[in-house]
Amino acid sequence: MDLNIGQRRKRVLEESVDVHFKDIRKAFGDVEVLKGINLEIRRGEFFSLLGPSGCGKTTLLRILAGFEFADSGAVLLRGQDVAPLPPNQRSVNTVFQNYALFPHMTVADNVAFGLRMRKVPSAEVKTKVQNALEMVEISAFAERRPAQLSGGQRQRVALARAIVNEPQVLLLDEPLSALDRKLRVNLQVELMRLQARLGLTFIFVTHDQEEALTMSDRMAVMNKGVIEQLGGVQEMYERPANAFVAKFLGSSNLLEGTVCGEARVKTQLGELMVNDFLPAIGQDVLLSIRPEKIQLSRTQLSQQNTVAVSVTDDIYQGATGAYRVRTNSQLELEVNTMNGGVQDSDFAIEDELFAHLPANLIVVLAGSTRLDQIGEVH
Amino acid sequence: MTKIKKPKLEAAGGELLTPIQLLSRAAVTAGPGIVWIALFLVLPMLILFGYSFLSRDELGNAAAPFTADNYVRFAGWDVLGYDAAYLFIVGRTILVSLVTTLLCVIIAYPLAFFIAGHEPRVRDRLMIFVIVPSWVNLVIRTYAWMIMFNPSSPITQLAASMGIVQPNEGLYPSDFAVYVGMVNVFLPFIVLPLYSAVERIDWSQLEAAQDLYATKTQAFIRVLVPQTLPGLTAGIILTAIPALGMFVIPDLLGGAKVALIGNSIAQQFGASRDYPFGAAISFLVMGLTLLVLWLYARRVGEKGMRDLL
Repeated sequence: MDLNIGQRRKRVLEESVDVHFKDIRKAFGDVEVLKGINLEIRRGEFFSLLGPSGCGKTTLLRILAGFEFADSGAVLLRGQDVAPLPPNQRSVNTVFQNYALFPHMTVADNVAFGLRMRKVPSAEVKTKVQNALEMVEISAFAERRPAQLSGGQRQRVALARAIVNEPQVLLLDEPLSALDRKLRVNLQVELMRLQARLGLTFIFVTHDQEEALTMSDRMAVMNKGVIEQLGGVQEMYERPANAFVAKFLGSSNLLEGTVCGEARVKTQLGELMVNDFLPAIGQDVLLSIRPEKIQLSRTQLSQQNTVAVSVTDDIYQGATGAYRVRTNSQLELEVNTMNGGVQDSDFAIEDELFAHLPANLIVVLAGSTRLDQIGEVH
Repeated sequence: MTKIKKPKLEAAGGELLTPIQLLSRAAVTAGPGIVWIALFLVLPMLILFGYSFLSRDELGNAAAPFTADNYVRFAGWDVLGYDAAYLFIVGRTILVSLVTTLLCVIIAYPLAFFIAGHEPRVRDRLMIFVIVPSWVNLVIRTYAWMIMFNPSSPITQLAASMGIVQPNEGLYPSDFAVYVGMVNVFLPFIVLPLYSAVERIDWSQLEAAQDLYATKTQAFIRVLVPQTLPGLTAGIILTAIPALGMFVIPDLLGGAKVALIGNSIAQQFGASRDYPFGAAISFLVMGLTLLVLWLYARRVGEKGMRDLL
C-alpha cells in the first residue's frame, strides 16, 4: 500500500491520542526551558516540533524518551504514565541528531541491537534486520562499519536501527540537519513515504521551517518554552496566530494599524480592507501578509488596497524573484514573485509599481499589536 | 605517497623524483635516526647476543669456546644436576607482572572514566595528577615508599594497630610493598591510553543503547567496554612487558627475598660477573616478550597493531 504524499495528507487521521504531554515544566538551574507544555499527538501522524534553538523542543523529546525528567506534569504514552519507566522500557525509539551509531559494530549488528536486547530469537532478528535494511535501501552495506559510510548512509542506518523495533512512537531529533541540501530533500520524501507505509507516529524535531512544512501533518511552533501555535501545516502557514509564528514560519510583512470602520484598518499604507475577523473600532491590530500574496503590477489593477511603490532591491533566486519595495510613507514591503517568464513579473530597481494587498489574504495576528514589542526571530 | 603511471618517477611532497633522488632525501631525513638506532641499539644487542654463546675463563671473563651451555643452564641442566630454579623465577616474574597489570587495570578503568567524565579543563588538571608523579625518578620514589612503609611511619603504625602487621615490623619488605611500588610506577602507562580511548567515546551512544532496550549495565558492557579495548590492550602491553624486566622495585621493596628475572639478570652482570649467562637470560626474556607480541599481532592483524601504536 504505497501511498503517495498527497494521499497521505488527505488520509483521515485516527483521532486516538498516542502521546499526551500534560502541563510539562522543566528548568535547568534558573533557566526555565519548558513552561507548561500541553500537547496531544495523534496515533499515526507525522508531527513536528518546530522552533529556534533553545526553545525547548529537544528537551521535550528527551523527556518523552526518558533521558530527562520533567519537574512537574505528566507524559502519557497510549494512556499510560511513563514517568516510572526507564528509557529501555519505553516503547519509543529515537533517531539521534548525530546518529549515535555504535562504531565497533557492523551496520547489521547496529540494527540488530535493539532486537537482541529484547531477546528476540536470532532467526527472527535476521529477517527483521534484513527487512529494515531493505526498507531504507542500505542492504548492500550490512557488513560495513559506520566509519565506512557517508553521512546519508549513516542516517539510513540510524533510521533502520530505530524502526526495526516497531516502536509505538518514533522520535527524530533533527536527523537531517547534518546533511547537504539535496540529500536532505531526498531523505525528507523517503521519510514521509516510510512513515505512511509503517503507519507509525513520528515526532520530528527541527529548526528548519521548510522541513517541518514539507513533512508534517501537524506541528507545534515553540518559542522560549511555550507553544506559540499548534495545528495543521496549511492552517499554520495561511493563518499564523501571532507575530512570532508569522515570522518564523516563512516570512511575513507585518503592519501596525487601528480599526477604523467595518472591515477597515488604518495603517501606514492608508486604509486597508481586511476580511479577517477584527476587534472593535478604535482597537490597535497587527496585520500580516505573506510576501508571495502581494501582487505587483505596472498599472493599477484595483482601487482597493493598492499602494504606489518603488523597487529598492531585486533579488534573483532562480525559480522565484524576491523584491523589496518602498511606499511613499517609507514603509518597506517584501514581495515574492514566480519566475514564470512573464514580462510583467520581471521588475528592476527604481521601477515605479503598484502593490495590491488582497483583502482576503491579510491576517489579523493575536498577541502584541506593536512591532517594537516583538523580539527578533531566529 | 601515491604512485603514478610514469616509470621510475615517484611523487614525494608534490615533486616527481628519480629513485636516487628519493633515496638521498630519505637519507637526509631518516638517516640520522637509522644510524643512531644501528649504533646504540642494534649493535650492542648483536654483541650481547654473541656474548650469550661464550663461556667464562678462569678469571670469570667471557671467553671462547662458543657454546649453548648458557641456554641449557637456564632451562635447568647444570653441572650439579637438574634444578628448574630459573624457570621458577621466570614463572614468578610472569605472575608478578600479571598481578601488577591486573591491579593497574582495576584502578585505571574507573579512573579513566572518572577523568573523562569531567569538563575538558578539569580533565587536564586531573591528568596532571596522574602524569606528574611519573616524572620523579624511580629510585627516589621507591625510597619514598620505603620510608612510608618502615616500622615508625604512621601508615605502618595504623596497619599495626589494626593487626595487619606485627608491632615494630615494617610493611616492607613484602609482596605487598612490591605491588604498591609496581602499581605506582605503571599506573600512568595504563591510564593514559585507556583515557584517550574513553575520551573519544561519543556519550550519546549510551543513550542510544538505552533507547534500544539495553539496561545501563548492558549499555556499558556492550557499547562502552568494546570501544575501550584498543586502549586497554595498549596499556596492558605497556605495563606487562616493562614489568617483566623490573628489578629496582622488587630489589628494594621486596628486600631481595623475592628474586625476579630482572634481579637475576642484574646479578649476573653485577655480583656474579657472568656476562654470557646474563646475556642468555636477557635474550630468553626478550624472546618470550616478542613471542607474545607476535601472537597478539597475528590475532589482530596489521591494522590492529597500527591502532595500538
